[in-house]
Amino acid sequence: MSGFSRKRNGEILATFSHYEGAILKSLTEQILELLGEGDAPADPLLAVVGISSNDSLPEDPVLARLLPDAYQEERDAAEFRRYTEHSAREKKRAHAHAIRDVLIENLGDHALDLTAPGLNKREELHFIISEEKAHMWLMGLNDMRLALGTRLNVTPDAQERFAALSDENPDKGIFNLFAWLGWLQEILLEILTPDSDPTTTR
Amino acid sequence: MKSTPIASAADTEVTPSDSVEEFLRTLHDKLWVTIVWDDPINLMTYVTHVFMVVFGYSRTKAHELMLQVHNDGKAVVSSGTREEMEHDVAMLHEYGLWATLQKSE
Repeated sequence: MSGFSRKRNGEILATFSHYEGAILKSLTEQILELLGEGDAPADPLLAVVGISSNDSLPEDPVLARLLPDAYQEERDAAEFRRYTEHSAREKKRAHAHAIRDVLIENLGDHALDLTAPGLNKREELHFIISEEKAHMWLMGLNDMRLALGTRLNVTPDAQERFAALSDENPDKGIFNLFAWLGWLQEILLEILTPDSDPTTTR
Repeated sequence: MKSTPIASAADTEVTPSDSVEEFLRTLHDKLWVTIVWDDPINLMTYVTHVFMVVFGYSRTKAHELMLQVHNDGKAVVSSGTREEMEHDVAMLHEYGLWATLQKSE
């Protein structure tokens, strides 16, 4: 069964088939492409200090959901975006890279290439993932869900709405993928969320 | 949380009431809040996890705040200076939560 589990020695074990690994890798690459530095040519000097020339909410609704406004008031939102969007993009790219790099490091490019001859797509592959990387995966999986969910215009009644679609409808496939990512996230949360209440409260 | 002993009347400095009001007004002007808005995509367990990890809130408090976001459409999750709230919002955005900051009402 694919997903994550904690071994007796505390290590986190990830289990994915070639097929699932290839899907995850492809999704991270789509996220990385989406988060590229935007359409406007970046000022090299501003790029060095992390200020972007872009100060408006992205037109693409998916990008707008991944990089939302910090203020409801337009002028404050633009000002904040100018100084923070560059680093916000970098952080999201780092989540996607963490997933992609762990997959490639542990499984190799060959195992993730579904066109490779003689590959049993359903064969399960196991690898250990560090605590730090697992947290990055949690955020990266969430970014993927935000992207797919926004594209599908997911609402609270989504389960019934998409179940009613015919199997030929491509949105149904995307929704199944969205649901699978949510399931992976739930398993990872069970492993990562602190069991007991922390001693310090704010 | 620690409880602070209530100062006796003799310990309290006598302050003219208009400067108290002024002090409170200044304090209020400095107070900003971070608001998390409900969205149909983020998992409830994930939102609770983020409140625990980002703010160090207990599971109980994080769960209550998540329910408030879910049921009321939004919740104030932290308060402080504008700079602190900008930091909190940036952290919440990194986690994919829909958050904004504003002056406390």
